[in-house]
Amino acid sequence: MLFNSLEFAIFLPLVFIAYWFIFHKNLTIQNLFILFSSYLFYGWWDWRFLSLIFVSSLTDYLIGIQLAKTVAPPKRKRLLLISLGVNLGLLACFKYFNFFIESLVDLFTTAGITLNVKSLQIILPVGISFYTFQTLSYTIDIYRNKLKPTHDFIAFFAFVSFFPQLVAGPIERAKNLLPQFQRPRSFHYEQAADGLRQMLWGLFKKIVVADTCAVAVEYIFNKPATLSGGILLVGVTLFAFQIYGDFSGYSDIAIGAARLLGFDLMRNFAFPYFSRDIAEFWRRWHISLSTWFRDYLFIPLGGSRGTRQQRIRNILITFTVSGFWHGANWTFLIWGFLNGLYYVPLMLLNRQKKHTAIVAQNRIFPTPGELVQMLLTFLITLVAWIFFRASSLQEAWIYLNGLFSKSICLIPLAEIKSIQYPLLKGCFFCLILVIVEWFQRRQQHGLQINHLNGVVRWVIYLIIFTITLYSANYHDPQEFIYFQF
Amino acid sequence: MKKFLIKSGLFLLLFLGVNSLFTLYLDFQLPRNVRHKLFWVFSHQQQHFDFVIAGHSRAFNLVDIPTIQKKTNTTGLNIALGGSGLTDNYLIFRKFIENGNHVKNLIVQIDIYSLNSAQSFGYPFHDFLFLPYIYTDYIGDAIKRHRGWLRYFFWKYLPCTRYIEFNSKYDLEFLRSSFRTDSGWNRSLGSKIFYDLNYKNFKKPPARKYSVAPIDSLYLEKLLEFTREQTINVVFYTAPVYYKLQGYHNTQIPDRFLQEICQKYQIPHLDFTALALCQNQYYFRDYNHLNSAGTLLFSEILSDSLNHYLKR
Repeated sequence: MLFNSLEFAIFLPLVFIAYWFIFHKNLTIQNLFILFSSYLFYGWWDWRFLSLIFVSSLTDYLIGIQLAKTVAPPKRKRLLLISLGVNLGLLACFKYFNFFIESLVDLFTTAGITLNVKSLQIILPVGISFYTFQTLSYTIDIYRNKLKPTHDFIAFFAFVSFFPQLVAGPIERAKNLLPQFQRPRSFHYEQAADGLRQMLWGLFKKIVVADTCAVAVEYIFNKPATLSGGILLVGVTLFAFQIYGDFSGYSDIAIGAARLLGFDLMRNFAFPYFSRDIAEFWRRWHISLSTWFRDYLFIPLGGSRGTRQQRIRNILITFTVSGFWHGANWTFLIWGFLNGLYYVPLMLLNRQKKHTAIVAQNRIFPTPGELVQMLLTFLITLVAWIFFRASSLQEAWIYLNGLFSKSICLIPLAEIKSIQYPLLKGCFFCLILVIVEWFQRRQQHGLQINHLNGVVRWVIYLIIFTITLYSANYHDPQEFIYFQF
Repeated sequence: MKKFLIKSGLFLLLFLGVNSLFTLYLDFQLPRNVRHKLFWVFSHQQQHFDFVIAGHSRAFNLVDIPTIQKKTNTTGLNIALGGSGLTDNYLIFRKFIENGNHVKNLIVQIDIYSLNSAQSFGYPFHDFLFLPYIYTDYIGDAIKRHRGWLRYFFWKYLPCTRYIEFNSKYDLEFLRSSFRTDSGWNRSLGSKIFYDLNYKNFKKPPARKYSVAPIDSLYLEKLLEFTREQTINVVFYTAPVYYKLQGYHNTQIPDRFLQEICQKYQIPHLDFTALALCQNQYYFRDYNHLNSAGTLLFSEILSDSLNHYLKR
């Protein structure tokens, strides 16, 4: 079920009513209802893959309990390896199997040996990278004695499959979310109302900004060799907003929907395009994944300690693996590696934590210096986005060649005649997004406007709701980009 | 909770109220877009025509009205719409007549595609084009038959849902065009000839067994009943197809059906599928569509035939 579909518009109110009016008296039944709703939500797409969520949940539930009972380090390690094996095995099988096979065949072909191995027709189960990482972090935290295992079977299964964040995060930590399943929840007007506002803002970002940009992006990325550099620059800029609107929009809807049910999920995006360097960007972009890799890969590798070479290695490995997490393609590996390269100089100069507070904290506008820093950071992320969006390294290379050519300052209208309207519409809504988020950058989301007069607020909600509904595609809703990861 | 529910409900009511007013405005403004073929057809009122041509793309794109006018010394209009089924044809023609227009002859392009529109066209009933007229009984009835009562209910009683659902059809560009009064259709009198498209080596469609869809036969009969009431003379014709397609599909069922209908309503059927020009790819754009050269030639041939059947 997609958040931007008619089914979800019917599903969520029904769940909300049943949750607060029918099942509110008993916590276990309420959790059971969440579990049922979450499986229904996921099964709507393909019920067969529910078994994978079940296997992942059951494995980590049982291993968690066993880990708490076991003292001997070798045995504890063995248990952890089983959890890693099952979860990463599922990922390897469903997400990376074909990539490994094809890369192996390519490698042998380069060496002049023909391998007769065929790739498999495997459907990538939606959200597999998200829920496997969520359950993994639970087991690893127990192994590290940072968390006590739960014996509440229903609460744990509901925690893993919680429908608002099941398919595209935020990747929650058990420490934050699991206790919320174990204590009674009560309805708070402010929490629910703000949840609705955040959902509305998320829908606006997805349907109005991302889906509008998608039309022009698709066109431009499909024929980079024939277009001028200026148009390619516009294309990748629109893609930067498309991916931001799409993914942060999803996160906003997820967080908002969870708040309607009395849960607080972690923040996943904090206005990343207002970052002054790449380190700040990665503290503000896909926060739940960045912190996951920090805690479970970067720090165990040695983190910022050790020799200069070790620190560089740790950064590059973490970013490259994070890129690979996104998809089984060399383009994602390069994207991750490139971001690692951007990060290395900051780390070596020990400037990676220079910008921790939001830009222009006590001012309306940034200083010229801050503006330049933000633009430069945005520009280097654009180069990396080319690899993220391109379907192959060859395509990314063609795009880069076209972009960094003499025609970078040219935008011949004849080349974009057929997409003039969606392109202009996309640029207009990107501008609106930037303006709103700039003024809202100290808040949690773009529609946290409690300081405004009630009538003004309602007019704003009404306009955004109307524009969003009039922009949605009801016959063939666009999937969220991160569903493929 | 009470406060939350009340405020959410109020917001929804406010949204519906404001958007219902907006829908009323759209109902008024959108049909003024005379750059759109259908609304250009409906913009005609209290006019006299010797003939109008109805059908799908093989009528819309394959006849040149000025040529027919000249050859038959009559006045005519092309009210056909690309990819339209017989429901569309009926609704367009009836609405056109109810706008006060007087027509002596209705020329209908009919073939295996129009008799099974769901099998032949991607979007055979253009429901969204008739939404501004949903309160007209026969239009509402057609929408209900094609889209079911739930959709019909929403579109009729929650007016804003109409244009929200079809926002990609009625976008800002469409609204903007509705303020312009110039229309290219006045020059071509409703036809759109394929001037720049010549025959290429296109793929032959897979052979099929064609049937007659009940909904298409129903609306064909409604159309014929309506013309009978209005004492309008009807002529059927089938436009040329490239010779490689002749006898290629199994068309026994629609052929027999058409024969029976023609007998029942005493309608002449002019079949041009085996004209000499069908042998020459120079006249074709694809298997089912003539290019401009073919269209101009065919319009002359059609005019010669129509001269015998048109009511003067």
